[in-house]
Amino acid sequence: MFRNALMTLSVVTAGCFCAPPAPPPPPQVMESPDAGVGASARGNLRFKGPERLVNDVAAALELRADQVCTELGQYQCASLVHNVALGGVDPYGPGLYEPSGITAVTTPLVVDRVALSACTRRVDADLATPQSAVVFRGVPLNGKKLANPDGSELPAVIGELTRRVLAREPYDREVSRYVQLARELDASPEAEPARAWMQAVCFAVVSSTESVFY
Amino acid sequence: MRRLLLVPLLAAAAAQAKPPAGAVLCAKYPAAPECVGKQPSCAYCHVAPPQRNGFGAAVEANLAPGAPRPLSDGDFSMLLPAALTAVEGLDTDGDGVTNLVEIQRGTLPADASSKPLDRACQGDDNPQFSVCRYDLKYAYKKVLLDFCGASPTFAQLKAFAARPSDDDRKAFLDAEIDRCAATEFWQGKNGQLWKVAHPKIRPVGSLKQGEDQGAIPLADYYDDYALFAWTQTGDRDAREVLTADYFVRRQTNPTRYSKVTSLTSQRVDAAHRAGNMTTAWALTYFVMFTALPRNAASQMYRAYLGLDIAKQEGLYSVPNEPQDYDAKGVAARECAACHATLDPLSYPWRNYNGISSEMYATRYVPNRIELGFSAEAPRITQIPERGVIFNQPVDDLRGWARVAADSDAFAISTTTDYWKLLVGHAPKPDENAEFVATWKRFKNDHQYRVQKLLHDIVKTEAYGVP
Amino acid sequence: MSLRSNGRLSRRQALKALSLAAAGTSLSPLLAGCRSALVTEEDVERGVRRDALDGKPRFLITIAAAGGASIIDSFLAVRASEAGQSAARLNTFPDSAVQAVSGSPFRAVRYMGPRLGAIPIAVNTNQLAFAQKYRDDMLVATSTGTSVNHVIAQKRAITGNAAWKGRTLQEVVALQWGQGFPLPNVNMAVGGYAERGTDGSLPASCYAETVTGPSLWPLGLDGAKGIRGAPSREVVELARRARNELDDGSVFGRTFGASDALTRWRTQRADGAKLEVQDLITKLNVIPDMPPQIPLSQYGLASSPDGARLRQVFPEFFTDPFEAQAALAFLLLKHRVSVAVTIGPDFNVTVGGPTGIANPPLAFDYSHNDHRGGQAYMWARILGIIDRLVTLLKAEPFDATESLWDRTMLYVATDFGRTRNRPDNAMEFGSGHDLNNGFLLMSPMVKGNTVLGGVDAATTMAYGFDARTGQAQPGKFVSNEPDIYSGVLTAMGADLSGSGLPDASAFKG
Repeated sequence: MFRNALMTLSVVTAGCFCAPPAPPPPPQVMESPDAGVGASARGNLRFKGPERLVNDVAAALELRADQVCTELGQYQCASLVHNVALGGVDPYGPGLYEPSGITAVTTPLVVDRVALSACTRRVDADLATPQSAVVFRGVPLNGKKLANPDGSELPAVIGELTRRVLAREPYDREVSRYVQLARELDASPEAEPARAWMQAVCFAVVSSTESVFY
Repeated sequence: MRRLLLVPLLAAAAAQAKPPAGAVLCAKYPAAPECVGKQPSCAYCHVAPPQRNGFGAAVEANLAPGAPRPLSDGDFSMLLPAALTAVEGLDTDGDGVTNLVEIQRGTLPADASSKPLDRACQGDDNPQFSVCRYDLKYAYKKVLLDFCGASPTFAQLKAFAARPSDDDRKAFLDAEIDRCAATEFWQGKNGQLWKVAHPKIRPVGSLKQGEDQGAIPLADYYDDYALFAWTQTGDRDAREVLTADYFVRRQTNPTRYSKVTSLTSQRVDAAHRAGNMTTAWALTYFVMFTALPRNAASQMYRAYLGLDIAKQEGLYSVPNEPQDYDAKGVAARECAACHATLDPLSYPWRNYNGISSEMYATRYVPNRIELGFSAEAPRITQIPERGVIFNQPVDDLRGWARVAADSDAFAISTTTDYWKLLVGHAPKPDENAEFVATWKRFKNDHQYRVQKLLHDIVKTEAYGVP
Repeated sequence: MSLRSNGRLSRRQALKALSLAAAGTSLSPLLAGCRSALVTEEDVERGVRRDALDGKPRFLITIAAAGGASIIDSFLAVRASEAGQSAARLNTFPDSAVQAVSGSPFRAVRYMGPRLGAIPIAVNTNQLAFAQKYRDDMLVATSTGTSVNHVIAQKRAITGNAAWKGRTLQEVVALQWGQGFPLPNVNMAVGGYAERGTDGSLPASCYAETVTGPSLWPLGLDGAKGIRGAPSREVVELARRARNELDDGSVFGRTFGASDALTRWRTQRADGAKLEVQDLITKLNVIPDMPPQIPLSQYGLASSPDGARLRQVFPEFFTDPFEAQAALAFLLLKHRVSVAVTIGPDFNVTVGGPTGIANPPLAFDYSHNDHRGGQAYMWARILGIIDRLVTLLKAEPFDATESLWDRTMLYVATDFGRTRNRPDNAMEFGSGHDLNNGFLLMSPMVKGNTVLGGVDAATTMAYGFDARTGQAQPGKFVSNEPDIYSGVLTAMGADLSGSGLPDASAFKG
């Protein structure tokens, strides 16, 4: 009863008087394997590079590719500003005809920027129009806080995010760690812990090694 | 006795570098991976000639010890096999593997970081990967990323897993490759095919003519990308990137390539066209102002045949060369080892003009040297149009292109391009057997169809075993 | 002079130096550079000994003069009257165009031409002021290379033709002095100058970080700052911690954890955090807050405190990549980010500057079209950048007693020389590539005001020298790439133990 009231309050805050959207379907949480994970002998992993990274993030978060990340609101991160740091080439200007083939010191930082930019945009859009929220839908809020970090809605969102970004269901370890993250933020002095959690969990999944290597 | 025999041999003309070395090594070890369809470069024994690496130094110490240096090419060729035998049991790079095994396995006997990896696969399948065998789901994700530029969705992966059999999944993978190879990501402007082409075309933005015009527009290299993409797609012969007597027009939204007999941006007549070697851009940038465009020849040799003369690769010395017709001093001992190959390789360009004359710019001009360069050196007009590539005489550049396109080197180089693009690195020693089988199929079974080569690479363990 | 006439820093400079030193001390535990991984028994084999690790870095700025900067079109120019009968057919200058530099073995070329090849801009250059100003920090060493292929020759100019296990000079400097530097080796050049060396045994951070767009590149030095609406730093750190824990333990991470890619990635993630700690996204950011095109402040960003000054020094910063590179190079050294920085013009036309063309097509290789004009124009371009860069470094204290310039080597690497022949008495002619040339080194650490080797005026070919004694050796025209390579490192005081490099004591001041 009280929870429903809070949910209504949060929806009103968001400027919509319609019924709250349903949360994503519950995840088919997988049990995290113990020690016996077979390791790759070849170890032939490749970094996605600028185009694949942006395409995947855009598809997962339902953004246009040019919305994923811009610097100063106008310069494309992946195709222009950070193209080489993301493993791209620059053939027509400085004559960088072939990619280095390995990541650079600045690559993880640039990946973080791309992930954070895209996630911020997705979270902002989902919070602004909860009825058409793509990822963060059906999450009950208590003002700026998550109404119930231990409820079923957070695992549902984590599942949705994992399916979208990693094309699989989440492991139990992932669900519990991201729920723990919600509690950590809830206990922090963060002014908008609910929004911060959405950004943080999205960022963590999008910038994970499994997301950026293949 | 042996020393006596050597004396007259050693009196023969000597050269400092030893282009025959690769051939001699391959005659001794014909099954060595370095010798299948190619020869080891000088870097096998040298840091940079004449400086030897550890393996080269060990061989040298066993090569007619005490005999005056330098040895003649004849002596060198005769004595090298024994010297190689003498070091077979050594481990000159200290990586725990003998030189003989390294030669046989295709690793470098002078590089401790290069040694056979007998990777015993450990463990069973884990929840996400089949780590010790070809993993179709893993391959499917890679195919979509490599060819379409985006990962499969959760739903796509579920649907793939739900297919009735592995055979069905394999057929689906083949279909997906073909579907994705038609996308902008693969064949469009700045797509994957263009990326393969960048180091071959070597564009310079400020000199671009036409679309995306630069500050000093000289030629439109998008024509070169168009021909390249055309020859690498559909049921087309990739060799035509070197032999085409036609051009390719690119249309956009979506990208389409079509064969045409002329383009306003191109000036070489049909009878003298040789694919991307004679485009306006190639002649502008690689011939430029020079009479004997060695740069053009070496670039094409490197770009399309994978042989970098500057790294002492692909040296096939021609007797009595270099003639040094343009008086550049290339007959000097330190230059001749490479120029005995490079100069005869360059002669067929003698009538292809770069931008030294506006009237004749980027055209085939009979008597070009006589018309524009006769004052440069006393014998310069004697530069023949006949040349030599891979020890085969050719009458002109189209003959050059034919020999080049039909060579093992072209098949190996093209396969290497796509191997690097899809597998992520040049073939490693433990991938050599698959690589050799792949380029041979590309050449013999597929008649140089890149589209079929792509399917073959995806089917390799190098690609599909996590 | 770097210091005041009494040999001391001004009070302001001293305070700055002390504050830098203090910052360096406080950050040092966080800043594990490439050398920190090298306290092993292999150090001697690798060429690093304790005596080279005195805690005081030295810096290498490599100017990649792409296309072939001809030394006989600059500091070793030949007068026509010296060349005798061949003068008309060789690249000799009218006597009046080759100026003596007082008290110095150097020469300086004055060139005036109505156009730059096919480009209708007048060329009016004079190298004299530069040579007079810097002669005591200049050393020219003659050279004979081994390749006239641009990319190959470029790479050999920085590896001495694989003189030391294929390491580039920049990698050696990063290895020897890069401790505590978050990006020891930054490379903004092109072609072979941008290539990595072939010694794969070095710590990963010794290999160059490639930068192609120096103006906006600093925006990638922080994972979160400047992203509108991004959560606080604390939230990002909590998220990163969760992510990294899950990454390590995930099925994906355990399947591929031993791969080179993930091993490198883990290290790079940790190194990236060190960049953020220093707020390099601000300190290295030369671009101004200039809405609406560059709305830095609207995104919580700011220009470097040095930004305005650098934009004044390099006014073509926005349009000329070489100027932008030079500005960034200065900041990379000033803020102890890098010990080796490589900059240089590329082969593209750059529009801008007083004449409208800042960089001709093909840089020095424009000499194919117009040798004299191309060389004069490009030398002026290179020397102009050097002059401004050195002025900045001289004014910047390294510590209480030295300026940054006092500890910097500036090496003008180039591909090769140019052919010497020309049509009789032609003033406009094209040239090809030639192995014979010379290199310019500048530093208080070199034996200044010195020419190693010389030029045979009758042929205009540069002859060699003994790298140990410095004695000229007329008639010596053999490859000496390892001498040049060793000379750069020897002058810098690098520990060359176990390198097998030739003794190049003649380079050292």
